[in-house]
Amino acid sequence: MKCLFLKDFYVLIKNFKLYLLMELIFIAAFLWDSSNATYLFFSIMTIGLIPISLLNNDEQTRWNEYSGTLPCSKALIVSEKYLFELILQLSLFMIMTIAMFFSETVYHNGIFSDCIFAISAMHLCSLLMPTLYFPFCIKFGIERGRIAYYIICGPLFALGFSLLQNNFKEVAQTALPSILPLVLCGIPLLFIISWFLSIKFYRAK
Amino acid sequence: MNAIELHNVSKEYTDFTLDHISFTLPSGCILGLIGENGAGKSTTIKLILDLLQKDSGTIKLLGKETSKDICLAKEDVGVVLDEVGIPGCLNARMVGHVMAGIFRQWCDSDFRMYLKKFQIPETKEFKNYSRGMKMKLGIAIALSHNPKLLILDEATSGLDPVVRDEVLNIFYEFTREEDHSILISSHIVSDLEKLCDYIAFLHHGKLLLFEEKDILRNAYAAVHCTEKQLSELNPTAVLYQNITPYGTEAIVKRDAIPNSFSMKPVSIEELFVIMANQTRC
Repeated sequence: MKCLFLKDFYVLIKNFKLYLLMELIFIAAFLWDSSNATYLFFSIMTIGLIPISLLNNDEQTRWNEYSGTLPCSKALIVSEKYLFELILQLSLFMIMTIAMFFSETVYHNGIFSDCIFAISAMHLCSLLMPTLYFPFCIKFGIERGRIAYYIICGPLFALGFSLLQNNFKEVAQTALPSILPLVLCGIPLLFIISWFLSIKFYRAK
Repeated sequence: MNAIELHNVSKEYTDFTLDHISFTLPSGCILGLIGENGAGKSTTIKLILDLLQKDSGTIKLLGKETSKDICLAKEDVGVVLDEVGIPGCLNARMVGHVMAGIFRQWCDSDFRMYLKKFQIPETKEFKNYSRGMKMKLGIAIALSHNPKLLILDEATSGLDPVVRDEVLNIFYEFTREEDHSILISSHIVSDLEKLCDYIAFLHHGKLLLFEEKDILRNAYAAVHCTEKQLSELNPTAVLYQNITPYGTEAIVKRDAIPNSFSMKPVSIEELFVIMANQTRC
């Protein structure tokens, strides 16, 4: 598993420099203006897209076929992508948490206590992308999988974006806590179901 | 122990069927899988490697059933596909680091030795390699974990003659060890003719023939004679004939032809073309 992470890490560093730079810019912009969650939203969604792009890269370079010739089980190959997604999300969450904590300590802007739960929920929400995308891509290939993903996820994310764009703090304090239990339970459950489905589809290829 | 055993293996697609393929590659031998494009060579190899699910039949790789112990078996198998699927942004050094974590028996000094031998730069990105270099890196990976079996799918196609010869020599070297075997598929029959102990002809998803190369070459021969001489032969002994104003040539079964005929060895390529055409008829 470590070596598959290493391969994805190399690809991330070499091919996705722009993504990583965007992450830093978005985080800095959010810390600068915490009332507008657009930057935060972009930051979290962007990190959620990276494993999808890695999967795309695997198909383009035919790594997905080549990895099948290596002594790695099919379950391991699929699981690596899901775990890599979790590692990226967790890394971003930790960076954000530390940054917000320092921001609150220095500027007394209340950003940490106001937004930490909302950010946790957003991270969980952004797991929806790979959760929905991976099984389709593994079963049908990247192109058809992408079409299915946009059809299903596009309207959902548009709704979320419009809710959060204008008054993030208000939404964070009122609406989000009430749906948080649903998000906390539902999305991880979907994520696990998606993981098992992807393994099943990959094995059946 | 056999390196590969296939028994009645089938795989059906809407437009193609691999039809009950059976053959055995004994340990220490080289088997050439010959067939035109779309004959089913790559499908057969993918089934052996469990990249595709078979519809029926059994496959054993180094004595282990692929449906049960494929990961264990793959530790001892080096594979080179027609496209080496390394991400373009990785260089040879990075590939070495990744593979070191994948194969238990990975030997970094062997890998570096092959990189040096093949003149592959360690820091150049894979996407900037020529096709020959990509293939050679694939071969270096395949050879650097002490494999007992090499599976090569069109590994020599697309290479220039000099590189191809170099690559074939590496395969020769590999089989100097008694228990080392190779399954190699190609539509460049001349390469396989030089290299292989066993030949399997695949045509439209069917196994036309599986035989030792020497037996094949002893069983069939090419004759040059007159049309009258040819007509006197037992018709069942004549596989193929080509009558021109300048003479008649035919491919015949050796044991059914009088010794008075002057016979030349027949090439595997000629045999394959004839058999494929007869099936078409």
